[in-house]
Amino acid sequence: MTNWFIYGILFVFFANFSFAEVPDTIRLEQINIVDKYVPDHTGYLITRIDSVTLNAYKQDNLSTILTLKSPVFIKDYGPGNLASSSFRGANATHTQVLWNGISINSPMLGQSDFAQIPMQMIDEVIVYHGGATVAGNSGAIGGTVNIINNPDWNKNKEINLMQEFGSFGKSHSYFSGQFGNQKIISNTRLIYNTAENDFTYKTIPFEYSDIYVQKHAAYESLGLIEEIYYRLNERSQISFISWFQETFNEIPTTANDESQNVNSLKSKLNYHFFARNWKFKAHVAHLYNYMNYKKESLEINSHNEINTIVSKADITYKAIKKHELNFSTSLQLHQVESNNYSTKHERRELDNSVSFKSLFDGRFNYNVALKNQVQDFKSNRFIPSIGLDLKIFNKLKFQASYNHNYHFPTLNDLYWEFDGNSRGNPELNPEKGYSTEFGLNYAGYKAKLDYSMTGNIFYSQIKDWILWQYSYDETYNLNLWFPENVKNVERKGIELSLEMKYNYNKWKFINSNSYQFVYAGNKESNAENQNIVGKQLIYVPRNVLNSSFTILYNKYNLHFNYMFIDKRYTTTTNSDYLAAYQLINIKIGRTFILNQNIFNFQLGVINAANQDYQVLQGKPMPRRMFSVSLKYSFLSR
Amino acid sequence: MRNFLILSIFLFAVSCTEENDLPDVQSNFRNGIFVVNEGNYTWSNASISYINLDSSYIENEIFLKRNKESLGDVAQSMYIIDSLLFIIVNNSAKIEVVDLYSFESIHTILGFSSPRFMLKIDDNQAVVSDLYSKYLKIINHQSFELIDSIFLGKSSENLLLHNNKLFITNWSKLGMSSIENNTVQVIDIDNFTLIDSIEVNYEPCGLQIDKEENLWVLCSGSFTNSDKPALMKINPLSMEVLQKFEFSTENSPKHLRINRSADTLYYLNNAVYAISIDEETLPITPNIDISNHNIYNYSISPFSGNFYITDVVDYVQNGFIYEYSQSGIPLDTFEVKINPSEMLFVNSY
Repeated sequence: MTNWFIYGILFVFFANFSFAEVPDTIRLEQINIVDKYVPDHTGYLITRIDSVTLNAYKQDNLSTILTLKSPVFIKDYGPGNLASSSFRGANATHTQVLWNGISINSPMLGQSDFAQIPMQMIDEVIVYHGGATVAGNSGAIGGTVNIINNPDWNKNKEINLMQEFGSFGKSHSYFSGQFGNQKIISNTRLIYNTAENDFTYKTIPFEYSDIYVQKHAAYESLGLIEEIYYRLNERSQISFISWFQETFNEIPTTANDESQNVNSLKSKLNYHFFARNWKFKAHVAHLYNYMNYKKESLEINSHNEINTIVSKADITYKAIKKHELNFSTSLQLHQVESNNYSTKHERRELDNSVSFKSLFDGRFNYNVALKNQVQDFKSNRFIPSIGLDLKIFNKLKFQASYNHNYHFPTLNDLYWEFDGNSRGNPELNPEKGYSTEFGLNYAGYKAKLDYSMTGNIFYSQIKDWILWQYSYDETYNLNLWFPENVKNVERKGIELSLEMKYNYNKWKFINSNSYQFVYAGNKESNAENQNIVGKQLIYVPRNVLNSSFTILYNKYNLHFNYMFIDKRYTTTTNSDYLAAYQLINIKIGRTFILNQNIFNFQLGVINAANQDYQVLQGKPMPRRMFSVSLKYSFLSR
Repeated sequence: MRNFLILSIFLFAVSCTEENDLPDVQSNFRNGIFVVNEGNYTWSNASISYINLDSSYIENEIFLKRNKESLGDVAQSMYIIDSLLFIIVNNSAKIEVVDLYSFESIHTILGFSSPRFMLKIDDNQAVVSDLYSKYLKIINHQSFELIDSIFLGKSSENLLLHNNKLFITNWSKLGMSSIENNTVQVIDIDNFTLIDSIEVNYEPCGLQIDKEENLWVLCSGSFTNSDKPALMKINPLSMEVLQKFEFSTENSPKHLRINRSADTLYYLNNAVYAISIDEETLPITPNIDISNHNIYNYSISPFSGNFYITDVVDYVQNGFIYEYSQSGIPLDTFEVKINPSEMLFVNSY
């Protein structure tokens, strides 16, 4: 593989094809500096993944992008396996994932598997730090990741084909075709991924370890998405999107007899109407998810089938001058059939929210929102949030926010069927608490340099945090695993970021850096376990640093990503930990253009420094890996 | 300037590695307790600790320190044969053989599914029980080879040898849902044939022989209300059930042990209970009551007769061992590693 890579580098730099060059249609990506402050999220920090990064990592999945470019810490079980999130020290169920404004967290597990979301199926990713209410959805305790599909009305016809080969039998194939005009667009994407995934790794302690080969970790996935956007007139638009995804994974364990198959179909029909003083949006969606997990030696064959229907209406009205009033109502119905539950289970959730925000151009903006959540006709919660932006000097902005959080127990928490070893707990209360944050942003433009610096401090306290523990259960008079509202968790930290963009003749330099410090720990504990009070929660790194450099010159591009993840404790008393690690990824590429045909050739190295590391104890992670890809695009406007 | 910055970060990244000097093993294993710490399932953080009873010094991670590799995933039990130690690592499906004096790794025996306990049969052979396999494995403990498998048709757990007969409890029905886990199988050691199957209550999880050569079986009961836990006395020659003490179904007794003089049995049921072999009824008050801790397992020293009870706290931190005298007086507390379970006592004085 190394030889191929060397030939590839030579090709990128020295190949000289005699195509007729068309100087004025060079398609370099639009560079958008990450803009942290958007009027919709007054007072809250957001991270919008820039288009350059999105394009460079199209062949990967969402966990890669979030690891490289956001403060979300991804707990990675290895390539092709589960990737769950930890945002500001919270756990995976506290990160909400929205797909075009619809929550796609599993009602059973309460979380999303980021490894199942290929980047080719997404046009935009926005990460909302902390409890910001997003698109009418309840603010999540950790934060929200919003993945978005956007139509591009500037293209009449576009065809893309991409093929990537990577180390350990990885292959990624992609096709997309967009056809349409100013009235109607149809965009189709097809993706097929496969990998043998027999990567090499070392075990702890790394400096004494032999090199092993990962076994039984192959995976295969197929995805298809169809989008149709139709402009009824200049005020209204209707759209339909449907996304099918199927993945099959072998799961590596000692016995090597576990595997998982997931099928999902997400469909959404959307209607927008714009008038001078008001906007109306409505959508209805159906989400289907089927998961089958097998472990042959134990005759385990577990099936889960989830059907969800979501319907939502949203009105925004310019009530008074420079102010907007928004009403939103959303109904979600989940139906779950699983051989881990004794019966079919349903969950109904009705969310209503009202928000009032200002749209001043000058110094000051604020946003006040109140949300009401009704679950299964039982729990009725009012969740307030407030945010404000204040311009202090010309380039300096201050922002602050405060909101309450609620998180309902998942269906597994409530209804897992008693199997002699574990059970759900229908008596669980929701986790509840509050979060607050404030910070400063300094941004400007001087002598071809665009810059933006942000410093943010956050604090959050959550009570009744749900934890599964093994203890004596009075209901069954046995020792069992069951969940209880036990923890009182405090999280606080600092987020810093610095972004710069510099243009010089044909050169473009982009540098973005983000640093996060998080303390997340137990505020209280029972009398027998006082040693954990004040200690960092397991698997939450204290310090995380992401740094990336992109250089664009003429038809060449270079991306360099560096990441530092601090040590993570593996015991609640912090007596043991997994070592800190650093990862470097490099991508280099070149574009060739012939009339309307664009070829993009790219080489990549992942973990260029060949670092040995583990994200989770006992789960091997790969050493250096290479990739080579070729993309063809045809575009006509 | 930019290039320098990129280069320096790159160099920093490449050259900076954690210093991980493993200290050497301090102890001599003359008078003390080896503690088998299970670790967390799939985390590969099982380990062996040693409590030096002469100095009260505790040493952790002995296998890692001596052999520069981690022990594996879920260590289950540990045995001495001659001057070698056999450590069964359940979820790594292997047995590590180490030298008793230096703790250096001699051999790794593979070929198991989910090995649990071991028993020496004679000068060459030992049997190994397995949770996920319908076969009992036989190894040669001198040459470290896996020499045979005996078909049981059920999962195997506890092992006891008496009068050339091997008794095996079929504790678990995990993965074999059509099988009933309410039997103790009997194997003739001379020709390794299955000669009998004694019906007992559900989940037989302990076997002991008393001074009158009666076999005792502890059953922890299944989770359905009709299957009661029980302590049963069986004649090991006729295989007849002589006595049955049944518990009500909210109990879950485990870890049947016997004292040095083989006249008193003990079991764990949220506290440690004692029952003399002549007793007619089950005890009401515990021998050692430590209900406010998360007690996992306990062992009795064959040398001092003291009790060593393990506390796993919340399963994700260092565990503790509480030493008690036979009359229930607390003597000492030791902090070991994660999820301490079985113990092996050594005394070469």
